[in-house]
Formats: sequence, structure tokens, C-alpha cells
Amino acid sequence: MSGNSSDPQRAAKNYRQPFLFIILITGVAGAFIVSLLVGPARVGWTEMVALLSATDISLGAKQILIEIRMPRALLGIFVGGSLGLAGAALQGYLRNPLAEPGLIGVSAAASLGAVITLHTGLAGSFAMALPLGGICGALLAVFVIQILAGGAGSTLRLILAGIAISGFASALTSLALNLAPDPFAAMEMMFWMMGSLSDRSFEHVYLAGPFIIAGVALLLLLGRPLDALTLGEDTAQSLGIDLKRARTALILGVAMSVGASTAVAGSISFVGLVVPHLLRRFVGSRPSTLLYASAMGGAVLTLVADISVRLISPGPELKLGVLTALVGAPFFLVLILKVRSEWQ
Amino acid sequence: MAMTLLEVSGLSVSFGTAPIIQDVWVNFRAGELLGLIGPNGAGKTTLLRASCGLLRAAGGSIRFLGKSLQETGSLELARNLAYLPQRGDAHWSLSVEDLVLLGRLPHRPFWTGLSTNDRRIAMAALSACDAVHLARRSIETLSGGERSRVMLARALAVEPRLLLADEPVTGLDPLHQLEVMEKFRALADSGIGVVIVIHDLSLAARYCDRLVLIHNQHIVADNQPVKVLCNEYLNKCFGVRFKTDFNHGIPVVLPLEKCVVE
Repeated sequence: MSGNSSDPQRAAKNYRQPFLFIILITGVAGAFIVSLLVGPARVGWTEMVALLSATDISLGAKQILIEIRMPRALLGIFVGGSLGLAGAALQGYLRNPLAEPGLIGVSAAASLGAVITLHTGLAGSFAMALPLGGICGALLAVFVIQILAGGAGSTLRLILAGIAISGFASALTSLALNLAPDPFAAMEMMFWMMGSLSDRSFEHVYLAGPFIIAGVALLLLLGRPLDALTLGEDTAQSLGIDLKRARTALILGVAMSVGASTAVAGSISFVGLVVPHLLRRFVGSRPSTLLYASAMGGAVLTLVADISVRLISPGPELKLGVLTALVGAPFFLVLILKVRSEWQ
Repeated sequence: MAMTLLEVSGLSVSFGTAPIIQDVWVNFRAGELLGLIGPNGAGKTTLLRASCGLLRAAGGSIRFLGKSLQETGSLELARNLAYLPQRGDAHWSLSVEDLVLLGRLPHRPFWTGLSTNDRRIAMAALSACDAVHLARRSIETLSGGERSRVMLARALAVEPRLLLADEPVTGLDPLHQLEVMEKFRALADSGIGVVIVIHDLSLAARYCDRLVLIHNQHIVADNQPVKVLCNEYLNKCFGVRFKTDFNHGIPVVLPLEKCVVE
């Protein structure tokens, strides 16, 4: 450990933060635009410029840009932002860099809700049945977790309750797969659970958007409690922080943003774990600043992963959740090794 | 007589059914350095935590400036009272300056950022703890002594009227122990009420205005150091015979041997 208090370091630290946010905002905007330009159909810059300058373009190109790629890019921002933010909030609250958005069980519960609609065939009856099922699952999980670990319970109880809910929801999901009426139905459920942003419409955006925005707003309000919690629960309380209220905001915020994200996109792993950890050093480890940085970083990472998925596999599309897990798991390993060396 | 800041009347606290402290009466006053002493598990930390509203009382009342803690409100209390926990540590590697600035949280409405005034107060707190030169370091690069000074600066950045510190000198070398005790003495002399939990009875005798001895959930003695640190109380509470010397300038309280308590 080198603790050097020279002036250049100071200057570097002060300049780094506005710089970081400029990079992140540019990154989100850039990835969003690229996301509109990339896809199997040959629709790119020219059509985009034509559309923006109100020149006539073919109806097909217009539909591809606005009805296919636009909702996909918007969901990339919403889902990625939710995951990054929820990861940062949970890590801050639990003061543990290994916490991730699925920790309190809402992802597993949302998956279960969606899989049940597939199993019962409800998903086929109307378009929004599947994401609605996911949201119902997430809401049920919040209800249970509030009963098990709400109020003044310990953080350990929150984690254990999350493990219990995740485990039970996964078991029921396996049961649904097990009892699938035919192999095609089972495959449909499997594919859905892998997580993807393809073939999503504006209806998905309208359904998940309000939940995600409300959840994100709640989580962004946690800046002060999370900063204070750096000094432990007693000191945070002595600084006038209402821990009970912070905990409720955390549970509701994670459930709404991550639950709705999982409901429309399936489970996308490792984004919420990796992003806060990558960005922490650039915000001087301040949990409040990390919330904003992680939300943007999560959006960038998810958009980039979703663009890569489209570029890598022209045939059967690689699922987004598979890609993030493929890249995320080795990173997780490195993270564990690094944390262990810090303990020693 | 100095103004009473915090008034504990008939306080009882239990964890589940096990009582931790029972029927405790004590006052914390402005401009006074008060030492809480007693064997491990006597209830010193519990008394401190209950005093700043971190634990729910099973009975009795706590009044801050004449008002109950509920009437005072958690924010108003947080602006006037700073709590320094035992082995206080930071969970993330914040810079020292950012960490000390956390002490300004209760003074800032949540929609505002840090003002230059907040920064000035934080730097003044660091300077009072001889830690200005550490401002740009990351907290995890500091030694134990440096860390405890920074944590004290964090508490001072609250600009409290009452400071409650749990074992602030435990684990420090003699030089740092003296420095921290001198610091508390100076704070009390400047008009702040300071309450510390302390195990070093010689330091307690030398620097504190008043000692409160806690044993078996009760307050056994509450008086000037010279009156509290007599073998009559010490034998009974600690089960140890002490050699005490108050007559030659600096008081010395030295544990000699185990003794049987009837």
C-alpha cells in the first residue's frame, strides 16, 4: 500500500470525477446510437440520417429503426441502468463488494412468474402476459422479504431471506420445467430465462418503464444513508440516518427496478456485480457518487453486450444473459482472488 | 455548576430477557470530561449507546437539554451529539477528507451538496486532531493511531455539544494515548461535554473531572476520581487489589493482584 499525499494526486482526484461522468454520459449516448444502427437488416447511418432529417425513407427501414431497434436500445438503458444501480445500492447497504441485484430474491421470483405464464400457456394468450407475470412474481417476493426481514431486522437476516426466496423460486422454476407439457415448451422457458433484449416492443418499454423509473428514483435517494453507513450502523444512526426507512427504500427500489427488468429481459447476470466494482475506484469509493456512476456504467455495459450479441452471431442469436455470464464469471473469479489477497 | 446536557433517569436496558443495565441515574454536563469505568460486560457501552438513542430503553427516561429524545428528534440530536464507537472503522477506502465530511451530514439538507463552510469545518476538525496532512490519504493506508485521530476529527466535524466516545484510547501506544486524552481535556475545557469509556484507570484519574463506576448493571460510584478510585470500590468491582497513589502529582492506579470478593 502506498500512501502518498503529494499534490499531483490531489489534482488527479479532483479532475477525475467530472471526467468520469463525461465519459459515462458519452458512452451511454454513443452505445444507444450504435444500438440503433446495428442489426441483421441492412439499415444504418443513411436511413437514420434520412429519418432524422424528415426525408422519405422506406416504411420497412422506418419500422426497423423505430419499432424494433428503438425499444431494444431503450430497454438496454433501463435494464442495464437498473442492474448497475441496484448492485451499487446493495453493495453500499450491505458494505460488501460481492452483493448483487439478485441477492434479495426478486430476480428469481420474477423469473418464476414469467416461467409460470409460459407453462400455463397464458403467455400465448396476450402479448404482455409474460412480463406481467414477472412483475407479479417480483411483487410477491417483496411482500415476503418485507415480512421476513423488513423493519429493524439485521442485514444478515435480509441476506438469508433473499437466499431462501431465491432458492424456493428456483426450485419452483425447475418444477415448471420438469412438468413442461412438451419439449418445445421447456425449451421456450429455458431460452427466456437466459435473458435477452431481442424482439421487444414499445409495449415492453411502457410496461416496465414506470416501475423501473420509480425504483431508480427510490434507489438514488439512498446516497446519504449509504455514505453514512460507511462508518457502520451505529455511527450512521448517530448522524441522524433512519436505517429502517433506508432499508424499506432499498428493498422496494431493487424490487421495482430489477423485478421489472427481469420481467421484460429475463435474467442478465453479473452486470450488477461487476459494474459497481469496476467504477468504485474512480469515485473515491463514495457510495453516493457510485450510485450514479453505476447506473450509467450498467447501461453502457448492457448496450455494448447487446450490440456484441448481434454482431457475433448472425445465425441463432447468442442470448445476452449468456454473454454477460461468459464475460462476468471470469471477472468474478479475479474479484474473489483480489479480495482474498486484501484480507491476507 | 455546569449546564446539564443529557440527563439519564432510572434507565434500564435489556437484550431479550437479560438485563444489561438497571435503574441507572447519571448526568452528562457541558465542559466536563467524564470517564465511564468498570469491568468488561458491566454495561458501559450499553449506557453510552442508549444515551444517544441507539438502543431502546426498557424503562426510565433520557432527556437531552430538558427534552426527551423523541421530542428532540433524531436530526436535532445528530446535530448536537456525536458518537464515536469502539474500534470505529470505515468499510470503504474513502479519502480522509471525504470521511471527515460525513460528520457534516446532519447539518446538510438532503438536496444540497457540500458548502465551503462544511469543508472549512472539516479541515478545522482535522487540524484540531493534528491530521491535516492526512487529508488526501485513503483511510486504509493509515496506521491505528492516525485512524483514531481521523475518526475523532469526523466526530468533531459534527460540531457537537456532547461527544460520547467508546474506548477511544484502547489499542493506542502511550504517546497517542496521551495525545488523545489531552485532546479530550482541551475539548472539555472549550465547553463541550465529553464522555469516554476508558479502561486505563491512571489516565482516567489524571484527565477526567468525574468518574462513573459501573458494575453488575448498576452505577456503584459517581464522583471525583480520587473518591471513586479507592480500593473499597475497586476490589469489589474488578476483583483486583490496586496500588493507588494520588499524593505525588500524577495519579497512579496500578493493578497488583487478584483478590477474593466476598
